[in-house]
Amino acid sequence: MAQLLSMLVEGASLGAVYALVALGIVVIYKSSSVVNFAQPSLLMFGTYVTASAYSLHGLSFWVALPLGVAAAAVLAVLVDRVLVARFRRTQAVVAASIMTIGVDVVLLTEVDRRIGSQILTTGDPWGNEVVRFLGIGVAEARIAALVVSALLLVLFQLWLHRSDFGVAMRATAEDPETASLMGIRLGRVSATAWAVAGALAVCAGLFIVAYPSPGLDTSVEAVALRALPAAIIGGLDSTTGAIAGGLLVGLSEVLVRGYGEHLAFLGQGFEEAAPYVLMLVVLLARPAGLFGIREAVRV
Amino acid sequence: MTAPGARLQVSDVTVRFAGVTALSGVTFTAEPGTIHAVIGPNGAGKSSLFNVLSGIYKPAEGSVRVDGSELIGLAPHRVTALGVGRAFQNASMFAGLTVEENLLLGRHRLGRGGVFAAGLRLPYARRSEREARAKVREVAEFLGVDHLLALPAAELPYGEAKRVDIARALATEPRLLLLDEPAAGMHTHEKVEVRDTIRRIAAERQITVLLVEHDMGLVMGISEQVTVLDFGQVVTTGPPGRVTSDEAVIAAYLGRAGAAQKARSESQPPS
Repeated sequence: MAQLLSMLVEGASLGAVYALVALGIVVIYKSSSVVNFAQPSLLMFGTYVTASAYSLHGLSFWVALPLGVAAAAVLAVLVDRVLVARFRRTQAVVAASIMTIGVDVVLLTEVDRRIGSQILTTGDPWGNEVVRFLGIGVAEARIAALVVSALLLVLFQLWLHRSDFGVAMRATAEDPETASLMGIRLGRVSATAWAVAGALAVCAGLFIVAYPSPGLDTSVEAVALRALPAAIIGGLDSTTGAIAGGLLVGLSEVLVRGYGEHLAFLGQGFEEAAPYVLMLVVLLARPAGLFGIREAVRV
Repeated sequence: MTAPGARLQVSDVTVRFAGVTALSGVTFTAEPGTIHAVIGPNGAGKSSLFNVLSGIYKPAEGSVRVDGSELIGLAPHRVTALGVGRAFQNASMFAGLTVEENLLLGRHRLGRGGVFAAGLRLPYARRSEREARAKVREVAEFLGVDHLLALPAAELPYGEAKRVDIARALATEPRLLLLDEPAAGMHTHEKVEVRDTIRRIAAERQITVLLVEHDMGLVMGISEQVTVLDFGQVVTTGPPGRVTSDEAVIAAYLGRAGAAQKARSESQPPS
């Protein structure tokens, strides 16, 4: 029982981190109908900037963190402005989405080259002490991840539903042409979405490299990629879905790893495939994802 | 209280799609604060004209000036900033937003670092949000849709949606309002309301109204000037009384045979 409870807490914590990355994918999709496959590389890039500012240049974490967040946000806006915007004029969203795979590969290659065989730490303030409650022990970093991610997710939802920009973005998601006739600048909406996505990815990246990984190495990108099934499970056009999807992916990963000995027939390391299997099962039942809106097309 | 209406000068506007000429040398002027109708049979080019005026189509030739400022080549959001508001034929509300949010969109300008100012809730952002909500309420009251503000737009019946759509266009504080078939699909008593609304917009707010409408009774009843389009060309522009008796207009609507018949019946008084 205690084992299950501790796995649930750990799964939720990991899931909340995935949700941050998935939310970036959803925000970009909503504002421009482009699926951003480059999200893992934005995470790697920003986290690398923070980690190298701390480990290699001796800056404090509280200086390195905003540097990394800003670097990823700026790079994301550049990708949008320089590359994706060219496709917007012709509404070639599929081509633009596939192009982001290219961006992902190029960026990851460069970040990997710079990391090499190093393991960079970010100097984050949450330690590896274990906090005990309800008869279970959870690493401090995991609790920090859960609390901070939950806070960011709530802030984001409030922003999307209360702010002027949130209204503009939801309108753009529904009908870009009419939105632009209302005076909304589609380029601004899209650039803001990309900046937010980049910033969220780095916040998530810092938690992924804090624990259980000892620091930033090239294996983190495979972890970051799990945000993609999370976004799709929830429904690409739903921010609530991104959060639900993130939690499901985190829980499935932790539970499959935790009960690994009972699932030995599936082979070792099945927890890495579990999010994708879950995605397939969800899509079979609900092609638009759990919270996605099925577009009703009149024929 | 609002800026007075703009003068709209359309000169020699020509739009071609892959060899088809949708508009050819269209020229007319709508005077400030007047109601100016554009009529014509289906396919005459009325929708193309509206799409040019709101920045969606870029014509091959010609110029469109709003109080002297060139509109052609501007992105749609810049056209809105120039003072051109548009209500749609099918009242395309954003179904996922409330009525109030739909109207707030009309107030939306993401200028002056708005994202961060709004996110941090800086005092000036809060003030501008309060002003926006007050303006939206005022416009909603003007059109009698203030009781609908909290409703999801998806739940509006068609007639209400059309009124909210006009309110949304007015919330952008236009000096020129483009109305695309405001009375389409309406009952007789709703049409009377639409007519009064358009009159009040022009009279009380001094906004120039450019109206596309099929209901001839409505058009002839409220317009100061009427421009008739046929096959993408201007047949004539003039006051309603003169336009209805114009041979070419009758020909456009009834076909050549109809015009000939009318001409015959006029030259040969019934015996």
